[in-house]
Amino acid sequence: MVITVINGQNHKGSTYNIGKILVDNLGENEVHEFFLPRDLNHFCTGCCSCIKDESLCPFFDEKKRIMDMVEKSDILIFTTPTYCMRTSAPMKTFIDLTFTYWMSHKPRASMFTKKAVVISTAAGAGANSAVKDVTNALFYWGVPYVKGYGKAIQATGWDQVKPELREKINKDMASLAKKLKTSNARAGIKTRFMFSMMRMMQNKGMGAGEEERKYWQDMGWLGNARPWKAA
Amino acid sequence: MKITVINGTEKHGVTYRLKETFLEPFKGKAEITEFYLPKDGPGFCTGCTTCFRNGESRCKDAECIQKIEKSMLESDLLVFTSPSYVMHLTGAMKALLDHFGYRWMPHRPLKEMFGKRAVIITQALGAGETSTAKDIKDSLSWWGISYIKICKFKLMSEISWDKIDEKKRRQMTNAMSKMARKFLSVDYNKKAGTSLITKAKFYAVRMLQTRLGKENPEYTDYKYWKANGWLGSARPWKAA
Repeated sequence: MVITVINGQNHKGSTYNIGKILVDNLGENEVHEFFLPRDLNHFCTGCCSCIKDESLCPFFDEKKRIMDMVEKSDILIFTTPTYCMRTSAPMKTFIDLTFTYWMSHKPRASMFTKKAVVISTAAGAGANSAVKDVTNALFYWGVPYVKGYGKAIQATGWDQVKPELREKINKDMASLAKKLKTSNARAGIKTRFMFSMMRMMQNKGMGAGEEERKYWQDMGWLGNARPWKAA
Repeated sequence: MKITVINGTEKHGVTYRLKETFLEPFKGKAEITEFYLPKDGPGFCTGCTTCFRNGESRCKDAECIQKIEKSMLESDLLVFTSPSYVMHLTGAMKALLDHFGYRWMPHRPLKEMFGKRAVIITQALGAGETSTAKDIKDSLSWWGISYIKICKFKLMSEISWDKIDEKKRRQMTNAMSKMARKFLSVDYNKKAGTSLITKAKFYAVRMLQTRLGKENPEYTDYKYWKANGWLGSARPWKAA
């Protein structure tokens, strides 16, 4: 399998370490790692040129390096610390910069067969809402199988996490890895419904322009083709 | 009076127009300081937790953050504007708010914030204006601000101001002017009241700090709460 890990922070703290435990539990795989902001140190400027042509984005090359790997992967792992009860700003910025991958714009067919895990830790409250910020984006990318794992660790560093809690995390990651290996990623009713809504919009010319409509047309999605079905 | 405006984007688009409409009647009457993100902001928070442990002055972005904080502290009214990016606030605004994590009530809130007034201006194409406003409101209310008004708008298919239809434009500018009149009529010599929810949050954190102080009397946040007298009978919303 190919696994891509996208870390919402540069440092290797608790969240990173939990992601690593999960990767180790998944066995021998081809693993690619990215760190934000290191690998994409830009804010979206809101210029909207990606709507016309993605390659016009001022940060296209850096972004493409990450997203090509994402498209190639079977499993995506996102880790984000919790800042102010939400995902980290670097992760939020990454989501901003990849918004043409949303179903409302130009979703990629490969997403509809992927599995993803989103991990977040917080000293106190908020880990689950940080997770939700990312799982929500993944849903709109079309990823059908997304598991979230938010944990209050009552510590600011990985070495300060209590041994009992670490033991619990180890167990959770082992069982999550097992689930990931055995389960199927099939587009569920929610994804299919959202897709059909977006299809209707494109059909009625309510999308973000001719370029987008042409993309949907070329993919055959305005006809009978569906991204979750083998051609 | 003084107003601090924090803009979640440098773009002069729809959000900018709405903000300008709001500020129009204040011009000449108020001293307005504006920050445009990411240009005037701090970049990303690295999560080093130095602000929590050793104090905010040791943050790598201290200079920038303290400048913005000083401006907010001196202001009677705070204005936050952000377009909706993928149903939430812009990354640039999130990066700024992350830096103010240490001013959340569970850490070291400023007592001045408890009496301040704020307005959030946002708009989204299709969907997301409500969640964007909430993203910002969450931070402000955890800083201790109770009086927060939200101006949010939903656009359909057009994002350039000139192409939005006349009726919609008028509707938006009218709403902004109305909100401006509301804020113009406020007597800024009086502090805004503190809501029950804010007080409840304060008391919950007070209990937490008391407990943390027993475990470690040298804990930075605990010492701050103690120095403010909040563990005794002083309250940030009451005049000393």
